[in-house]
Amino acid sequence: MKCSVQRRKIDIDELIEITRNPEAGAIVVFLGTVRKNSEDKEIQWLFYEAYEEMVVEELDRIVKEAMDKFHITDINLIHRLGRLGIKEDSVAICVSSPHRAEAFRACQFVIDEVKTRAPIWKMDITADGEKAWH
Amino acid sequence: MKIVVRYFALFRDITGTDQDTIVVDEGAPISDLLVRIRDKYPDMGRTKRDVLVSVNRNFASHELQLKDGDEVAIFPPVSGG
Repeated sequence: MKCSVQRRKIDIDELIEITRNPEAGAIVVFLGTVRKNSEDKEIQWLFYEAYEEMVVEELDRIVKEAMDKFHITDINLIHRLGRLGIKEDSVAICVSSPHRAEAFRACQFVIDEVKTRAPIWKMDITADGEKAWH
Repeated sequence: MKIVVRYFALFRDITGTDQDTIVVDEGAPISDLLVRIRDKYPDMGRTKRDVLVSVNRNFASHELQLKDGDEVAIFPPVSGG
């Protein structure tokens, strides 16, 4: 069980490898990716900022809640910070569990909580150079 | 007592700083701190964004009473993922 934030690209293969578990019969991976449109504006890139001293603690709390709530063997999560281009992965969540249904449910729970609780903010930078915090 | 307040994202842009010190009465609730912040930065009073607060790296209600040495951060709704 490990949560982290990083500026470098996410290595999905490595994330899956550390989530593998002899008790698991399923692994579910969620990737959040940068799309080119936001509210009808064309995005050039995104900038992610976090309250870095708090964010890992909050992510750990979310993952711990998921471990308590669902029958799963492991969860690992990485969120990117800094500048991201279109199609890049902004967040990766990997869940292993004995059976697939719980892994899907746990993964959905974690991303939903991340989107409402993790102290991370996104700035859109449009093709026109316009900047807007979300 | 003096409370060190950190600002993130849009609120850092509005205040023009990432950290400052705000003086409040001993045991004052966070709502008092927010009033002082809006007095100091009138544009904070005009923002339509909700204001989230963390104290010692945990989300806190506006009723929570502050203690000397608390680590306070003020930020808009999160938008990660």
